[in-house]
Amino acid sequence: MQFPALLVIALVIVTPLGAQTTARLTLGGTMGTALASDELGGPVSLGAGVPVTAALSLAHPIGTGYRALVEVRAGRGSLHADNNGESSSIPGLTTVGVMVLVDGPVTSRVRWELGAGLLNYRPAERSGVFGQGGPTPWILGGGLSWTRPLSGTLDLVANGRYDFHQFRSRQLDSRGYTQYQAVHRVGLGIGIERSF
Amino acid sequence: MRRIIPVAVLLGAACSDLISPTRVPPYEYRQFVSSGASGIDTLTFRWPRSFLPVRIWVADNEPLRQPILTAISRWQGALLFGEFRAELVSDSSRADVIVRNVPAPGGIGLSRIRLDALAPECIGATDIRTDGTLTQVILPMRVYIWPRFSPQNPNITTCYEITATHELGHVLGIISPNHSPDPGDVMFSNPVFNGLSDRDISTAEVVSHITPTLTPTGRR
Repeated sequence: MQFPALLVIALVIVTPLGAQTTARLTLGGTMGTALASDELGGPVSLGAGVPVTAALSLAHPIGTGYRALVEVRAGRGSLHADNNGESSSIPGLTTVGVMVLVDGPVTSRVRWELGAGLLNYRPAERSGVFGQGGPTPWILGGGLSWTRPLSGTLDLVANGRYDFHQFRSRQLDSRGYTQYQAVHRVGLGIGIERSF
Repeated sequence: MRRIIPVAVLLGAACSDLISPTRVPPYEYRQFVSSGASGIDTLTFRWPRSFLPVRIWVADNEPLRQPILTAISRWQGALLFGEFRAELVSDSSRADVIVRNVPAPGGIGLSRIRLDALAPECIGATDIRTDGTLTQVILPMRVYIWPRFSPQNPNITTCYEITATHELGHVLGIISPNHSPDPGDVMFSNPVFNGLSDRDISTAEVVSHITPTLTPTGRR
């Protein structure tokens, strides 16, 4: 788990960015629908399993109660193949998403967030649907965050996120697949938010 | 109306599915054997998902090592849903498939399926041992690939690549001794095509989703 460790270090050493700027680090998991599916003697599908997900975001006020956020969210897990009811795992799939979001208050402790960005698939090996590399589709997402003060500048934060993107890889293209697979993901994370 | 259009586009995008390609018909991949009074029996094989990745051994210093890696990469790339994966292992006693750069031994016996490939510069053979009831494949499978003439032939590397891909097709489960009837397929009996054709791929896809009559046993 090198990536989360780097995020913790980054959060600790980050220099003050100005009044009310906050940095948030969460760890959790993400579940998603299938990346690709077909009918080959029965239903077959390929999904991203439930990767461990770490997210680091920086937020800055843009108006009364509203903030702009830049977030990097990385997941590390395995591909999960379901072939006519027979399952197997293919290790080594990393996703890295970068999103720009806006958030605002729902209650004093709960905030909504909405944004867009890019999601990069980074498979450990070039095979199967990633035979010609991983795609980088657009991603749209939103969610809710709940915070509870721990000290003057530190909050406990829990975050729920839904996002959506369209998946198709160059390998799928070259094999004659058309259209896109809509991929819906739900993530939960818990962590800390620090004000500067 | 201006508000409805973006919402409709977004909803359409959120509900889209991949559309599968039209596939070419596969060639024969089954083996038919006489089973005494009961007539003809059909043998089919594919690797159970629990056996993946298939362990393949080839000696470090053998010229077949790179061609086998190429063959693994080709078949893995052809099957998009993780149906087949293989890796090289360093210990032949743990291998599911043993590959050697020597001529195949004679006298295969009744309990072996011998599948040959006769490319211009080299020859390949895959031996698959079965039990007496023709329900189990006894591991390891053995693959032999050797030069037809001189190992210094300038085309030998290409021939090894073609033949390794062909023999790995047998390992995958294309076990018909009649092979593909089309010289454009790597599974043609005298293979010359260095790659996988659309028919090779569609046949591998069918093989990878059958309910097999043979299951592997004896993994160490």
